Amino acid sequence: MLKQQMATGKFLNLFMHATPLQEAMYMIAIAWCHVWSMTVTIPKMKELVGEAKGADRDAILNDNADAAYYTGKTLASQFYLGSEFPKFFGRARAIKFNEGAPIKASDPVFTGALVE
Amino acid sequence: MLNPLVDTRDVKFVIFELLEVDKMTKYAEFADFDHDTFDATIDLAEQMAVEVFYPTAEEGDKIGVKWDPVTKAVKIPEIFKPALDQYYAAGFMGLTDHPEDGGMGMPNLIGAAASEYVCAANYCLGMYPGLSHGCMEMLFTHATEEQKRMYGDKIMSGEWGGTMCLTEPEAGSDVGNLKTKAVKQADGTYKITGQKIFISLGENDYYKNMVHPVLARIEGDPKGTKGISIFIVPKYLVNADGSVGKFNDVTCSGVEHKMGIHGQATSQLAFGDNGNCIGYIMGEERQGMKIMFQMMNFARNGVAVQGHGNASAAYMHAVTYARNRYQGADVTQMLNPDAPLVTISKHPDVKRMLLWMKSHLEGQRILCYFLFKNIDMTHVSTDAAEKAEAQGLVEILTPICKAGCTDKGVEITSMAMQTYGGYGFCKDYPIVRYMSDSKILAIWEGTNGIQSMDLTMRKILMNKDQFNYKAMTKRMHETVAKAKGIVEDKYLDLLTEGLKELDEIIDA
Repeated sequence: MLKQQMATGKFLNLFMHATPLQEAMYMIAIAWCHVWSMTVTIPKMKELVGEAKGADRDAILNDNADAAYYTGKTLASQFYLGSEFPKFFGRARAIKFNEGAPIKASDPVFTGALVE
Repeated sequence: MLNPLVDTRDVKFVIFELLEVDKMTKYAEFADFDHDTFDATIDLAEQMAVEVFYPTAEEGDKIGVKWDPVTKAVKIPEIFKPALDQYYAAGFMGLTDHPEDGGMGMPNLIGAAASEYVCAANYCLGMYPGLSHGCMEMLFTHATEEQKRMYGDKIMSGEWGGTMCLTEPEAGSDVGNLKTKAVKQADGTYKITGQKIFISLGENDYYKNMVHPVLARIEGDPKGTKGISIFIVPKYLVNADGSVGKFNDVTCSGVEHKMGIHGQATSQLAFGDNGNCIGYIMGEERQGMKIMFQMMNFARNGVAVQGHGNASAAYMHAVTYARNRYQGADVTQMLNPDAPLVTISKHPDVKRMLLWMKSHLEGQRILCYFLFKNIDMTHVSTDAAEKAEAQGLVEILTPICKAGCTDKGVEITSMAMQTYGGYGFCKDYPIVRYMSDSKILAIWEGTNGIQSMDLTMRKILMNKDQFNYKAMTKRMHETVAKAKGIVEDKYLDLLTEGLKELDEIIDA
């Protein structure tokens, strides 16, 4: 979409999409970092915590700093991917919608009074 | 060591377990180092941050800087000075610089971690050597050998400081509109006249001399950025023996009164009010923007770490507060009036807030450090393809990290304040300072709007064959492939789906 807008000289659209694109790319970059991180943290967590659940797991985490650390990292990664990263798709959809209101908004439209 | 600023366990995870810095010692440039040296450097940075920089933050903020309208001098908080002395004495100034220039030559990856500690402890103070370092690095890259030794070595030692002088009242984001003028003299020097504003550490009573790289237009040169040159303008001229000479007509006409970073001497500088300000060209005439932007790009990565570090400190404080603040019963017993109080860290919504901050910060730490590792790779790799890919990653990740970490830094400090409840809004707790200090990072060094335009246009669409973008997404796809069988598919599918969406936005 953006390459096409570039090729057809729709520069105002490109500048309008710049910040949403940057925000989306930050989101996906962080999502990637979490997936990458889990390739290390999950095996470590499994090694230290095993299949323990509930109170048994808490007992291990209270006692073993590494177990707590790798568990916390894995939970943070899962939280980011499952709860934060889905916002990316809203941002992507908004870019694709290509709403042009900012381009049409000239100085007089921002308040109810005329520009002095 | 009780560290209220940065999760050192996580710093070491990213450096050693994920980015495997130890493997970088195979390169000749880093062959003198080993795991223990890196580990000890991180520990020293932590100690410097916690024991030396952090204790200066509250008082430095409260006292702020004082400008004297009669003498035009600026006093910085006294408490900053011994901390700066210790920073220079410990050798942090040249941590990642080339040994030929007096540095230790460590990887930028290690430098990024050290920088995170400094930024979390008191980034306002860290800016004094930080900005000076940017100036020094520019000198070491673009100045003549004589200039390097005359100015750069003094900055490295901490005797002198350095700035970068771009902004003017009518030339902020639009640097090409600057009015500062340079007139060539018969002896090859230039007479400089003009005003610069928002100059960090521009005038201060710590450094014995200041070296200002000043963007100006030589009389007769074209309008816009193409006509801009860069000049070395010392506050005091330098004698042939290297000692400080006569005043060079650089005066401070005031300091900015800001929302945060009160201990930072953000100065307005007047060059040549009396017609006696001499500048020396750096590099060639009309190459000013090119030279300044090499420094600026590195500085933008530094700002990403500032945003991340400041937010890290806010988060760490919020965690400690939440673990110690008793309020309300466990939600499963909320209707039982006899239920014991629990700490707020037990409440689901507070857990969510803490995990939200943690997840952003830990992602940012990986992303920023990865960026700095790629800066290293652009210097040390001997494989042309690997080097080109590293350069592509640096280019595309610079605006993503600068804008992403600083915008999110504001939100993280806000969330940390939320965790404290009403106390967070009171100055009895440090969260007010972290939040006040967070916003400027989204504004300076190129606003985040400018970062976004840079990312969209120069770094992606105008980049040949979208090489930078493809270098980044290739890494992401490789990670997904590697994670199969380790990470649940539902998470991997999200990332894969996201990459498809992004491709459609860019390409379709």
